[in-house]
Amino acid sequence: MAILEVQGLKVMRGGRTILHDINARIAPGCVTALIGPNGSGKSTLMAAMAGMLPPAQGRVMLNGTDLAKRSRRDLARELSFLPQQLLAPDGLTLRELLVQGRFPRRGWLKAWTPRDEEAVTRAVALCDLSGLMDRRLDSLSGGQLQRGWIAMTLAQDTPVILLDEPTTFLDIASQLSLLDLLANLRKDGRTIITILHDLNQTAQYADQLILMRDGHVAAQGPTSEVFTAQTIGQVFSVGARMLPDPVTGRQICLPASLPPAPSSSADQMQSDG
Amino acid sequence: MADLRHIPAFLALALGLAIAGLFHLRLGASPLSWAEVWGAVTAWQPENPAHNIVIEMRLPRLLSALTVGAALGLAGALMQGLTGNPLAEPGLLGINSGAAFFVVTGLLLVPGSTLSMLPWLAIAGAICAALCVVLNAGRAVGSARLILAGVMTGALFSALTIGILILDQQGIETLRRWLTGSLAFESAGMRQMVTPFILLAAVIAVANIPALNLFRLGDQAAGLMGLNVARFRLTLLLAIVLLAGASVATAGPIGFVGLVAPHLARLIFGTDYRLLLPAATLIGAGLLVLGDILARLAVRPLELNTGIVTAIIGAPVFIFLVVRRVK
Repeated sequence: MAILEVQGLKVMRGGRTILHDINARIAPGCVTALIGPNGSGKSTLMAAMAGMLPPAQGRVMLNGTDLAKRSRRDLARELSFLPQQLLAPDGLTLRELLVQGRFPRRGWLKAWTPRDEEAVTRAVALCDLSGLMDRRLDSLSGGQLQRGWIAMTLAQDTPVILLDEPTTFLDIASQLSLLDLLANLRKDGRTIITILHDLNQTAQYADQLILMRDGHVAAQGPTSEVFTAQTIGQVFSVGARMLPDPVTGRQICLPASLPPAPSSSADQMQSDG
Repeated sequence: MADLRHIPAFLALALGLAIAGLFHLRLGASPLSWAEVWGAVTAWQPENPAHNIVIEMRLPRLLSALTVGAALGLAGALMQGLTGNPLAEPGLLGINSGAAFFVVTGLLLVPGSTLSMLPWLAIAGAICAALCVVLNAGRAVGSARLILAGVMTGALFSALTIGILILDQQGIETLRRWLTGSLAFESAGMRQMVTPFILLAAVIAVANIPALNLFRLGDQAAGLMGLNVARFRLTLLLAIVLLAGASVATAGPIGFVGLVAPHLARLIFGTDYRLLLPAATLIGAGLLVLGDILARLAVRPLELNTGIVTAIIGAPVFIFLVVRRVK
């Protein structure tokens, strides 16, 4: 049983086909990660899963109903999405930002309810922001701001959470605490779909993987089955070796460039499609 | 309950507005004493000429200044919220010029036109100009292109207005003052005609306060949070053209009040639209009352146009804002 299901999805942007005939099923209560090289269509697929991009063909089903048939407000109560680049407005405090996460739940000028307050308080605690609530956004560091956006997304309190590269701007300790947060949210029964840069972090925290390449799904399934030297090597055009972690025994991927392959640092400069 | 601490500031604003209003009644071509103003307001005697100046001439003008200033301040706050651009206001974006062009064209060229058509003409012109700006501004939030599109639209409609007036010598005489924004005519009837439009716009504005607050995060994030962005834009645009049309119908195109009032409001109250909308409305009303006092005092016993005074004061503020943004 899939909570989110992508059926024959084709997405065009500026006359170019970005996603070709994507079929994917997201299991409820799991962390699913989209991985693939830059420009493979991960972010586009995630935006389409959130109903932000109209499909040229196919559809995205959330709990058995087509996303395109729902109002934005209705959708925002069941699914939250944090895209990669959001502008931080001037003059807002962190608290004012988090309060906006309750917008989908609030009626026309309806007063702030204890439930709203509770959702915000929980998001603040989860993202470790309690001392910063009255700070202005422009006075926060990149990592604090990123945690602020994540907290706003969590304040939305939805069963399905989509996070596009949430670990960007975070130092390694914050990255790990965010990943633990994802694990906690899963324990809480939420369905999480995310894009992470680091392959080994992805493999450690994701239950399911969807591997993308050139706008196609190259492989999908449980991490234990698809996180192999062969699939990683094919999807990323690298040579990959797998080693067991000396402590946990978990598989760790060591990528190595193939002799004629372009350098990966030049690849990083491209924006992710 | 964080809002309670803003009550003193609002009281101070209201008090300032009341004081400015009293000065407006007292000062003018013939200065009156406070006793005469007070007597006229509290115990009006129609046979007393000083009382007549206050009640028959200055009070209607004060009410028009308050109404138009409030409409412009609110319109400016809404436009800045809608576009994410701190320079947006009905004057700079050409909305006032569009409204003025339609009024001039309608009054001079359409046979049998009456004064009661004026608000409708002004609103139609505001809609036309707003469409011109929106269609040319592109989608980027806070972009300079929006201002360019507005300035272009304003220049186009001003040029067309002047073109029509040059063909109609009589029209120049009657509309000369009105076209630079003036409160010097009998505007009580017009004020009553446009009040429903302003009230409708105010209701739209209040209903959109949560959405305006959300929209500070940009249209993408607002859409993600479930805001129907297209409907939000359309209803706000409607409120803006109603306000701009109503103010132009009453007093002609008056610039810069819509720019300065929201900025002052933001300096005092921050960016929360629950505070910003009422504050910009009050400050807009106050600014226009002050501007109108100056207009009548500067070259006494003649008077300047109120629109000229607001431009002389507002232009440096505009330049200051641009320089601060570029820096």
